[in-house]
Amino acid sequence: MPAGPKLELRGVRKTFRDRAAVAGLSFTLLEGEFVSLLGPSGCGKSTTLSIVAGFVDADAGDILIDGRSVNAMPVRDRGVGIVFQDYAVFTRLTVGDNLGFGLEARGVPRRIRARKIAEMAERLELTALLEHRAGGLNMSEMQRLAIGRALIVEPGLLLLDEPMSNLDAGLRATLRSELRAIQQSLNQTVLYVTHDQVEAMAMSDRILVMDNGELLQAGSPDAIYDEPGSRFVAEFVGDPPINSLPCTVNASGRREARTDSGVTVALEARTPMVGRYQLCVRPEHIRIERTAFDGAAAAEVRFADNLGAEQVLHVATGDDLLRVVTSPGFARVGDRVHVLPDAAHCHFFDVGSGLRVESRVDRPAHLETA
Amino acid sequence: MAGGSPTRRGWRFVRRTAVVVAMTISFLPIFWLVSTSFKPYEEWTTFPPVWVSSQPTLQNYRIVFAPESARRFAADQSGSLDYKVADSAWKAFGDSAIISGAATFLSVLFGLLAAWSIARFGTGGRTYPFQLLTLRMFPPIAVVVPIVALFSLLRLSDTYLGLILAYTAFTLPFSIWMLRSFIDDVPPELEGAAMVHGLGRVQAFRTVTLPLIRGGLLSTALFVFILNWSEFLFALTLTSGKITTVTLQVAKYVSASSGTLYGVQAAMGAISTLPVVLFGYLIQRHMVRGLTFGSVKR
Repeated sequence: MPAGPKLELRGVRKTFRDRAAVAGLSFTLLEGEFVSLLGPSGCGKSTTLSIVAGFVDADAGDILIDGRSVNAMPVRDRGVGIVFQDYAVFTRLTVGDNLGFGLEARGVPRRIRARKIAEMAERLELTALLEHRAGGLNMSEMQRLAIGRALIVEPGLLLLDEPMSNLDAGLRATLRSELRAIQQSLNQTVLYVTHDQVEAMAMSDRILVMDNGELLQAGSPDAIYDEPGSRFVAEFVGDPPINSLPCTVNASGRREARTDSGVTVALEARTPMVGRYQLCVRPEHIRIERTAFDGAAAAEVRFADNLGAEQVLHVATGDDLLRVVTSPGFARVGDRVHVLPDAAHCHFFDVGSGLRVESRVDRPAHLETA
Repeated sequence: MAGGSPTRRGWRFVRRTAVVVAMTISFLPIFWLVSTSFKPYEEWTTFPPVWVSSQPTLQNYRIVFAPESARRFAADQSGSLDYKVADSAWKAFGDSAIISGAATFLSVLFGLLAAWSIARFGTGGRTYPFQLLTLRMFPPIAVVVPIVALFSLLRLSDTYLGLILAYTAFTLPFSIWMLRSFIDDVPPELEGAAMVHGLGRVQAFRTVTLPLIRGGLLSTALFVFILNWSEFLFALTLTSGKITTVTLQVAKYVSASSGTLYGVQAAMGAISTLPVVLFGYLIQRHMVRGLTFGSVKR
């Protein structure tokens, strides 16, 4: 296996009428890696995918596949497969002809073609549909067909552009694991574009979080979740969403962060930071009790979302509403509770830049971002 | 299902009446055209009007296709018409077919290339298609004088090439607009998928998009052909005898003593609509398909 990266982007830029869709993007994908490009709509992730595929020319920067620059290479020579959001299957062709399209265009002999189509259909459970017109397939079948059509030519790099967004939630969960299984069995390098952080978390080896055409953070799903590099990443990733509150750290007395509504979090004595910050803490990192305990703030349950395995309480302290994950049936609307964010899992972000401010001196080694 | 509530029956009555009225308005002129083409001279402009002639005649059609023999024939018969046209209309049909056919082909061909470029690559910027259409905001009469001057300078007057170029130029904006809307309906991802699978850009367009817009292509061709076939002003000003189109031929059936020869004009008009009706009939199946194909869910 070659040691170099499968795909490398170096300072790629693309501007559409004064607006930078991609503003100097650099990243690499290793062979066999499943990497998600995660960001809100309009962040430039789909444009990035189009640039890698070759549909759109970058204004500046280099795209390298297997270490060779493909800037000037036509789409068909780049050795990429692609699955679009709408699948773009050829509805007038049969399922079999769709699967064989790439092989036929490349002049693969009929006998080999037929064998490969049969194998791929078998793998994706499309065998019974081979003679059907692709226009009559349902969404799940179309998606499998689109994936099969892309994979059958054994592309070095598979690009997926929000392939799950047309599917309902149940199907999405099934296909997530199927897609991941296929990817791992083939050791297929995948660049997966999505705005759905659950998908990115569930499938990826690494996640690249994008906003406004820039790469905000790259790392394993755990690193992105546990050590967000900016307020944007913290608030974008996680379901239920992270709690995000303005707070003040005083220069004198006990070192503590105090939110505007009066929730205080004790900080380590050596913490150098002082001033206004944005405090973010995940709903599962807030200690909640029915009775008062040391340092806790009193709160009242306003809403309770029962998710079956767990319960998300929205508790009010002062003007703030905190989301707290508890076991089901822990409290009901109107109950009095006491809450305290876990200081070890509080993230602080600069109010202006939104960038992470280190609050603890000794960071656990496993949280280092890749 | 018959019946339904009185309100629904009332609405159905209103709807059907509206359809009948609309059909009457559409078809009455065509009926009148065909009916008049079979009327003898005396019935062309009488009042009260004759709806269907009691003594139908083919004389009008004879004058259209064989004016000289019709003249001899007329001498034996009672009615004698004074007309100067000596040319058979076959020449006009031939010229019109050459000019309209060639101009339609060129207009749709260039229109297709331009439309693809605009739809897929945003050629010319966002306002470019609109700019193209503003070319047609000038009435032809406003540009006909400079064109006549230019064409005589270029020695294009009274040539097939001249009229073909003029017609192509004047219908091109329509071709581009219509075809662009059809191409816009085909998701670019389909071409993308074909390109990823080994086709070139043009090849992908030809094998994936073109078959999907075939209905649109034929509809556009029909529309442009009708414009070309029925064009009068350019034909009048850019020819001087060597070339005759069907519209010019119609205008020739005027005589000093009998005034406008309505029956002959009607016969010529009835025949000249036939090619268009035939073309429309032949592509009807594709037009319906062109409007209803659904390729990818958006």
